[in-house]
Amino acid sequence: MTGSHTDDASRPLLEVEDLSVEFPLPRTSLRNRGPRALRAVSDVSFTMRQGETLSIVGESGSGKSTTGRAILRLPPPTSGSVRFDGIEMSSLAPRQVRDLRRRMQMIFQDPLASVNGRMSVGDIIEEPLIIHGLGRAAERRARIVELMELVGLKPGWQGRYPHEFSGGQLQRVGIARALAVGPDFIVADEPVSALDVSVQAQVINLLARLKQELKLTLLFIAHDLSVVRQLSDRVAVVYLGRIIEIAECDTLYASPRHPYTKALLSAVPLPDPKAEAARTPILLEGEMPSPLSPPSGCPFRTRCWKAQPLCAAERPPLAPVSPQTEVACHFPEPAADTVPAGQLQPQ
Amino acid sequence: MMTANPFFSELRRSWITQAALVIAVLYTLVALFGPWIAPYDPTRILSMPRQDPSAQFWLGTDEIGRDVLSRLLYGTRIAYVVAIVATGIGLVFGALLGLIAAFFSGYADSIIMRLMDILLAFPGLLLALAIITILGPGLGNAMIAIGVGSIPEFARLMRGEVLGLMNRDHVLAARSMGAGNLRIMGKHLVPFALATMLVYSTAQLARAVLTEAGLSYLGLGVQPPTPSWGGMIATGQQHLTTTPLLALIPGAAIMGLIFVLNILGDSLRDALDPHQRGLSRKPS
Repeated sequence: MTGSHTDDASRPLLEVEDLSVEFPLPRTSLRNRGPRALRAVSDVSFTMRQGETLSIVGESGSGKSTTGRAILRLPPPTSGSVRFDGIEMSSLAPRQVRDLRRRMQMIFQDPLASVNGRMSVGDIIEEPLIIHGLGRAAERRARIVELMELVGLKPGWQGRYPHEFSGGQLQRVGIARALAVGPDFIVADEPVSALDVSVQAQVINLLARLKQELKLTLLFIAHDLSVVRQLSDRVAVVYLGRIIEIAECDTLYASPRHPYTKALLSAVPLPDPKAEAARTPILLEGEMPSPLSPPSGCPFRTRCWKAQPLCAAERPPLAPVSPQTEVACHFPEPAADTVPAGQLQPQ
Repeated sequence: MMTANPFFSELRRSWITQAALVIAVLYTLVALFGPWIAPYDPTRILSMPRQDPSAQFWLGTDEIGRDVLSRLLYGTRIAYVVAIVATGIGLVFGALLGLIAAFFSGYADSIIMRLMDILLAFPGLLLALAIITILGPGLGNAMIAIGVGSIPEFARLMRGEVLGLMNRDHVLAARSMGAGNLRIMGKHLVPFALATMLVYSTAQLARAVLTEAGLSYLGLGVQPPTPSWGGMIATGQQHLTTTPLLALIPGAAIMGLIFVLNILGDSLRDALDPHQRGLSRKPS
């Protein structure tokens, strides 16, 4: 069911270009001063190859979930282009978008809230099959059993209701539901954030296995760099609605180039207690600025220890600093394996 | 599918609710079986007018000599039918309009809700009177008039419920699966709004009973000789100084039913409230 639709391996499955999402603000007074809309996502661009896993990492309010949802047009982006398998999503009629959802599915953060509590888990997993008219009743029943086994649930549980399950089990239901129609692209919106740490690992392992077996292209959204490392091919770090660094997974962890990425990584606990004791964590001061009044220039400058006047004057564009890394910073950190000689010149 | 029905646990806690439920069941039995319980034909003149209660006529006879008890029992059925049909009209059309307004928002929302505001600007009985004036008096038209009058409140309530539900993840999930509007409304919105709507319906039943009595009192609802509580009060009040029971008995019947319906409505709301507005978003 998951046959690859793109034979040309070099062509990206997903191309996101200058994606922006704004939420209109209610007018509070007749004089109507202040911003008219909240810009949650600004000019986000990236591409994903077939079978690749890209993680988007950021604090809450950074626009990471909104980005994932905008790609699925839930709600549609305010501007920018999303091409899925070469098809421009904004050019599609609602009917065609719904048909395309068969190939693009979503896994949600809160496994209990994202299922209909009045439906049995069997019905929940079956629903996308009914929506897309896949199979007769008997075939659908067989498919439910197959899916429940695939995600590690007992098929005998399909008559049970969501409140009878633990969070981890219910997230498996959510994954089975997303896989039911055989999608090739999945947006996983913080799928483990609501789960216990011990269960997080199980669900991550499950996703890693399914991604291999089913050759899924996975957009994984997380607020924590520690959970995405195992799963990701590439990682994008977002801050205030913009990608500030995007790099190959190993490169990013070994050699973060943006000060913000470096600070985030210093908060990830290390397994080796000696190494943990030896390093000095970078503690960021303050909070992320409100997206209603973003700072001029670089969005991160208000909390950056390296900020210079240039950072307030000019927003650094996202630009490649090495074959593996693009970063949006006037003064990026030196690559880890090179001697920190001269600063990279601002562009 | 629902764990420990909250209404029944509420019922166990409160003796007032228990008493109200018992009385409501009695009213309902009377409404269902009134014609079989009633000792006499409610429209037949059986004896002298305005007799005091006796072994033969438990509640006496009315101003032209019909049995008050039989008229009261038949009147219960009329009150029930009017209240249920009128509330049903309000619930179905109100919920539908509220659902459409919330779901499609924008122009649909503005147009529907401004129309509802216009209807809401009239006091309930006045609106019913206006509709009766157009349609003419009678049982069926009274039901329509009362029902139409209750549409706006149902629509507003439903709109609020649906607006809240639309932001829930399971609705977003349904959309992400590719579900169409009808499926989302029917399977993922309406069942969740239903509990609140049923609670409000109970309160609305009480109001419908009162409005029907008002219309019949004014001679615009149920037409004589068909017995109705409002009509009985209207004729009874002419003899208030000599035979006060003629007006007091149907009055007490109306008051009792409304009282009981309101208590049940409140209990139902208390029972369902923590589940809907509470912090834990457990499936109710």
